[in-house]
Amino acid sequence: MKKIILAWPDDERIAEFENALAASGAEILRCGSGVGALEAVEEYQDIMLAVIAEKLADMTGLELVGKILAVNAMIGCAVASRLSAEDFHEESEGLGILMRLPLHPGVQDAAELLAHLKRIGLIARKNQVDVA
Amino acid sequence: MKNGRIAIPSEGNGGLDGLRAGHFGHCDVFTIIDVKDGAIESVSTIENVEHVQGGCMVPVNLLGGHKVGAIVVGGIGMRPLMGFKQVGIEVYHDDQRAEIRPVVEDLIAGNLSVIADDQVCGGGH
Repeated sequence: MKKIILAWPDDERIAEFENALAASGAEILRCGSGVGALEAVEEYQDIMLAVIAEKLADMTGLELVGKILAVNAMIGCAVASRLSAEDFHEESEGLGILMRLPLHPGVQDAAELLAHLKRIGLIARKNQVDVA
Repeated sequence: MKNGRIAIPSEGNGGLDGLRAGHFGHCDVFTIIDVKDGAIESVSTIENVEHVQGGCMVPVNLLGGHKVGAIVVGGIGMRPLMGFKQVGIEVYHDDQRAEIRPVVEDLIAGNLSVIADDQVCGGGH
């Protein structure tokens, strides 16, 4: 089973978003800090995606993306941000962010993110997560 | 470089006498140069693969699958740079010349530098 890191402070407002990601069949690894997320990246080789809050206690979401890339650039990343699309593009250029998320993403955001993963081949079509 | 396979992001049909592409991820083809004993042994091309936003690892995996050992870029983002390194492809830098041949000759002669992590594009820089 492929894994998704959810690097996010405890927040009940994203429960439906998390459930929708889990419904894809992926195993969700909850990490409350950037360091915790990086430990998971080091430990597991089958992480396909990191979904990251705008700011964690120990680093910003974009800082965490840069640190993840240094370990495993194959992990796709989606990051929450209050920036405009244009400003976010400027701030994140080169990091290869899959999607900018709202600060409190919901079910529709999860659906769009999973659809995007399918388009770039990180997960198989027909809602199948384990890729042979 | 004495032996190995070089990839050059290229415009149009590519080839040793062709022109380099400014954005490696969206080039038309990759010109592939096989080097043996410090000389060009053969030249071929690989079609690039279309990719959407966030799919910048597509060309990394493409070239990794073709056993490329070195690529020359004019600029590159942090993710593909890290990706190339992690699949064992060295990334060299030349943002001055549009022609493929002199850049290849310089790489073989050891006159090009590996791009540094702080030379990547973007991130508000």
